[in-house]
Amino acid sequence: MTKKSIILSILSIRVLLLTCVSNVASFTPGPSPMRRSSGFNLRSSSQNEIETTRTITRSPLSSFFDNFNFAQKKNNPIETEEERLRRLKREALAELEEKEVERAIQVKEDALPYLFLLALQILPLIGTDRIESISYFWGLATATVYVGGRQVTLEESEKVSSESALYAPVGASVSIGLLYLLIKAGFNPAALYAFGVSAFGALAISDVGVPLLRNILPEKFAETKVKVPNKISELFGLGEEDLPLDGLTALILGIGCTAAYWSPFAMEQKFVFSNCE
Amino acid sequence: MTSLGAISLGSFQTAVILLAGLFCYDIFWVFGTDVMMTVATKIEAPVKFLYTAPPPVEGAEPRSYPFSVLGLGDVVIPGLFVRFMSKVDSVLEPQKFSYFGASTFAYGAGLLACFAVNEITHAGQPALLYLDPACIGSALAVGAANGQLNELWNFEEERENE
Repeated sequence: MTKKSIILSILSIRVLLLTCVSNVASFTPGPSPMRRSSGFNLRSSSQNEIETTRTITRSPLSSFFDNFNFAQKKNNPIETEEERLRRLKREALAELEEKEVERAIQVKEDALPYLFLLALQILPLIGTDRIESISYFWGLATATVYVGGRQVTLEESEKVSSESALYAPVGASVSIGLLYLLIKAGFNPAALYAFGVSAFGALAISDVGVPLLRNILPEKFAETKVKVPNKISELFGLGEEDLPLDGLTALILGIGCTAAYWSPFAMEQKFVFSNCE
Repeated sequence: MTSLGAISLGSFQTAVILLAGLFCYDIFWVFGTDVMMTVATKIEAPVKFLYTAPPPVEGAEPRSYPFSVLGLGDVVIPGLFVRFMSKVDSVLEPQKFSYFGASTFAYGAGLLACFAVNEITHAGQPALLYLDPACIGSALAVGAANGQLNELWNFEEERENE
């Protein structure tokens, strides 16, 4: 064996060892495994640096031997049904949180169109001429289609089948025809219809509100939980879990908009709330 | 916006069927009857975008409905198509033009055309008459420009997950 090949062998062993050590270090559990695995992180870079430093300063040798801690693994008791359900619930919540982080990142990327949508709501205060109304409708519709097309959703969308698409105009025609007949018969179904639609509007605002609030308010806001009084928890079947503050605030915003929509003011003074719904 | 995320059109052909059907529906109920205009102005519910109409000119008759209206369906139906195009983008990865970008632009242009005709004729317009051909036409044009017309026409969302 030549001197050159011996040096190369030593070098390759060193590289192999370094690779093993770095792999062990990268598998060291951090404070929030869920966030790490998501690939998305809203934490500041300084926080990430602190965590990286913590991971690196840990002895690679002890991390390596931790993986072979058979005694500890042997002593782990078998998971009971109750524990399994708790674990599944934890995992579902972690998955939900991961999606929420993704949604907040997407909203941050689309900050300009969202700000544009917000700014448009000032337009009615500036004027009511035709040019203002056209600008308002055009801006509102185009920006909604743009951000709606790019949004990240919490759940998988429901797919429309070809049959449903084919019959959609028939269903829509029957609905609009019935509404028309009711109006012509002197019965105005507006109140009942508006109640159902505005209830959906409140939920929709709370859904869209969470990622928006996460970009506006401090990071701590997303992590805070609120203890719900037992009576309310029992009434809505919420269980013993504390509710996230961001979700609760967004829901209150949605209910607030619905209350404003139903407030005893003329529609000319509150139509922006109708548009938000 | 929530509606746009809750529903997916599934395949390009389904999208074309839906938009073509609602194109005919909108034209029939707006131009053929007074049904759409009556329901849009008589039912006060958050299913439309409103904007206060300018006060009537002195001596002119006051407007029967004090708002300009844009139906929610005129945003949601083409919006579903535009969102679907973002999925097409992520799967077909076009080299030249983005399907999502083109359909968003086409939506904006179609809406402007609708407002222009409304301004000239002073009559209510079925917005899908302008928006649906603009959206589908832009997607097909971009598909042809990208050399992916066949892939676009046969695009199904399920393939994305496979």
